[in-house]
Amino acid sequence: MEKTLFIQTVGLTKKFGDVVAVDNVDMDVFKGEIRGLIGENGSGKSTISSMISGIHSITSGKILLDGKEFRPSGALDARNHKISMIVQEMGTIDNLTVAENIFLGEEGKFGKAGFVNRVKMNAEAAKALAAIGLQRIKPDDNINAYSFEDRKLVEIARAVYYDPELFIVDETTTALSQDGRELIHSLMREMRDAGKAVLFISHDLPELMETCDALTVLRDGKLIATIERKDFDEDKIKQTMVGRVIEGNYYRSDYDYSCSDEVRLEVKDVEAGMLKGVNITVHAGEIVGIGGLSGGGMHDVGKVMFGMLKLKKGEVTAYAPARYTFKERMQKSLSALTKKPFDAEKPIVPYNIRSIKNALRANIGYISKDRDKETLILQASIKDNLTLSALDELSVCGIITPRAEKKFAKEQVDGLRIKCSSMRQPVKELSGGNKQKVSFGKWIGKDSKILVFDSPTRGVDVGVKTTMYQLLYRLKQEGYAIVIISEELPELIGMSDRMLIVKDGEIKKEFTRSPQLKESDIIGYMI
Amino acid sequence: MKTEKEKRVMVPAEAPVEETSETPKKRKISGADVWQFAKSQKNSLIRYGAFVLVLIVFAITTGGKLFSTYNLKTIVSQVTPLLIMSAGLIFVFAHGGMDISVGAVVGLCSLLSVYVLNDTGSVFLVLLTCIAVAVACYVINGGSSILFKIMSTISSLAIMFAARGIVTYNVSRTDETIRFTNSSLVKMFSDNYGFMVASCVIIVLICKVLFDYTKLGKQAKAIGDNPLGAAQSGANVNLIKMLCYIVAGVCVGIASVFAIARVGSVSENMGSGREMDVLIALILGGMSLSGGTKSKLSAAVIGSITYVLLSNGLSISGVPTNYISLVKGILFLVIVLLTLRQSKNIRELPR
Repeated sequence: MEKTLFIQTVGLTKKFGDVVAVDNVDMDVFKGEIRGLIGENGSGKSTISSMISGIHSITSGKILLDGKEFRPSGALDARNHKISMIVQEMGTIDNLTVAENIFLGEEGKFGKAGFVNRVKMNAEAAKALAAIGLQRIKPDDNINAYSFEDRKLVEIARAVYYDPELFIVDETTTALSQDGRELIHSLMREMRDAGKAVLFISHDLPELMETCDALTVLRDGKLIATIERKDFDEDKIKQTMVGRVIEGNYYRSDYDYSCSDEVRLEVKDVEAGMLKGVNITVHAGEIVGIGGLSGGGMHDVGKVMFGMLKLKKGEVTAYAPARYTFKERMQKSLSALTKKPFDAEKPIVPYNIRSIKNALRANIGYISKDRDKETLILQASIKDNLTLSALDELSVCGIITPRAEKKFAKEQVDGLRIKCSSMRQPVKELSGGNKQKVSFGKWIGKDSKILVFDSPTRGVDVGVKTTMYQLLYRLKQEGYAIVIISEELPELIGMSDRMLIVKDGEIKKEFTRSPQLKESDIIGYMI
Repeated sequence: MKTEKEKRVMVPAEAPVEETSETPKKRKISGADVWQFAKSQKNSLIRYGAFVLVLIVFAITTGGKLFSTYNLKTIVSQVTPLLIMSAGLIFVFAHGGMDISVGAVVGLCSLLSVYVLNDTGSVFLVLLTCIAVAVACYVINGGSSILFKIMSTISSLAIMFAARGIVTYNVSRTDETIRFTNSSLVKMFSDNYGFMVASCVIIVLICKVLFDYTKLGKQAKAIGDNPLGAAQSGANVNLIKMLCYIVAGVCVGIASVFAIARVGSVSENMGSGREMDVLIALILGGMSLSGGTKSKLSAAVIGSITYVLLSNGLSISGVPTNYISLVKGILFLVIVLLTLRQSKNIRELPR
């Protein structure tokens, strides 16, 4: 097939203050191809696509669209030039109907004497949704009634409705289940076959290799290489990405699934949210992986363990050291004041988990899938975020000194190697991987022995992922009880001692760690 | 448990933390750098800038009268109640709440303290009554906003009308002025400037400890930024909010004793306008009214002093009272606009 040049960037550069996010990138995108963009977090992939779609301004260099210079004044301008982008974050607006969200800014189309013809708008929205096979979503429903995934799909319907010549998908698939992913993949292929261009950004290398015709690798804002499909090689691409050798297998390499027989967390016959009669036991020194399709209730497992869902039936019990009595807390404060070590071995006692408060008493750590909204406080500093969950541990007679805080935060920043200019830097300025390190640090520092991580590597680049996996493995060896909920099967296969597949709110299958375990063995139980 | 300390550091620091933003030491300071610095320190700049500006401008326009012994005493007696109120209410604002009932609560406390003092002659009981009444008001205020999930502005509006209603009713019931029969009893609160300063210092110190060095203050600030995140990090959101309201109540109660002692009698307008005073004082102090982790207690301290200097300076300079409100209004607007500009700058951050 003959290739016609569609979008060309010449010396494209973007600076945020002093930081160069995109450095002199010359990239050619052709019609009729799916171009993957890959690179570690902060390598500039999102920034490039944001400049093309008019979300960010261009610092220097230019974008040529069909040979003509194109300088979008905003997202709307880009859309008028047939460029649509789907962003990583939530791109729909609460409290509007689905149809209103699809035609946001375009209500004028359905206008009549200053009023919007809703019937017409809903009909058009239904058409847009049907075009990508989403008949189950009703245009006049409030968007809040839909899950994150469905809302993403609505955004896709919106983007496709405008019949874009360039369709940019920015790390959207990480938030989607298998169905959603397949939908978006088939859409991308359709567009390519219609002679349009697709820019696809993802962290998921196998996914990129499967869907893309060519891959552009970015590192530190520079274009490193563009690799054609015929030259795809997973290890080689990874190497180019990070600029150093990463072993093909960055998961743990042992297949020893033994663990202590001390139970740390027990979910007994629980009915809550989507879950119907779920039984899970987590032992000390064990990593339990929870997999499945995202709409199948797997995330509710984590919520139940952290006391966030009301139990209709059954119970959740954690086994953790008993809490200090008042007298012991006084002694602890006293010994902190006199700088003497304080040791009080407490027996392990059961805690009934019915609320977040119970869960915290039992020292359970939880990282939500939506960590920016729920686990972290973005505006607050790294130090404040790290110490927030450990205030009780840090306080001496109720007072938390800045010194104790600093010491605590420094241990985590150094230990987890969080990249930051200072501990006072707001967390919102950090990259995804470093944000996640902060969430890890919050619980590890607090000495939580039971850790529940929902999608711990979501939006995290390969380099940081490796560190996280090493960390999880270390924690396991030190006797922590760990639950990983993940939509990425390779991660679960690679990391967990036991794997539970949740489907329709029930545990369908249990797998034990083994080198023979393959994705293909599991997928059948998921779908 | 013996190895607790070592266990906390999970990954040994094999490689040193990379310094990402290390700037060469010898670098020319350009205008842009100064601007960047100013932007990042905006709240502190507003806080101290406004204070210094007001101080210099009025020192000149009043020809030094601002610092006469008499006027300094006036300033102290005006600052004391405002400062104590702001120090308490900052707990409410920091957790994302809003209070506009403080004026009416001061009115109600004043009314009751006159009754109590005239009946019993005990200043201690007056103080106790004021604190109890103010705390009760704020517990209802916070409680209803938490329980029924209504906006804190609305619940405080209800308290404001209720408290103001009681004051107005009691004042209108009698033809006599409601005043202390023996005002010398509360002299300590009206004429003893050393006591005023000492009270301010002690209360500010206590608030500072609560606000910056305890779980209460830290979690309250976190709630102001992200209630969901704070809850998942162990904050009992409702309890913390309630405690914040109680702290505010205690402070407002104490402040109202100073307020009534200065005036000596209760009119139906006793305390009205205080809610705006506190708001402007906090804003002048560089506080963001949406709260959050950037809240600083110094906003209450510096802001209150700046605010009093401003109104005091304006009236000594001979500006008519009507214009004073206008000036305050414009100032309020300007500073709010300055603080709001922040949101625009966030736009161009990498995604």
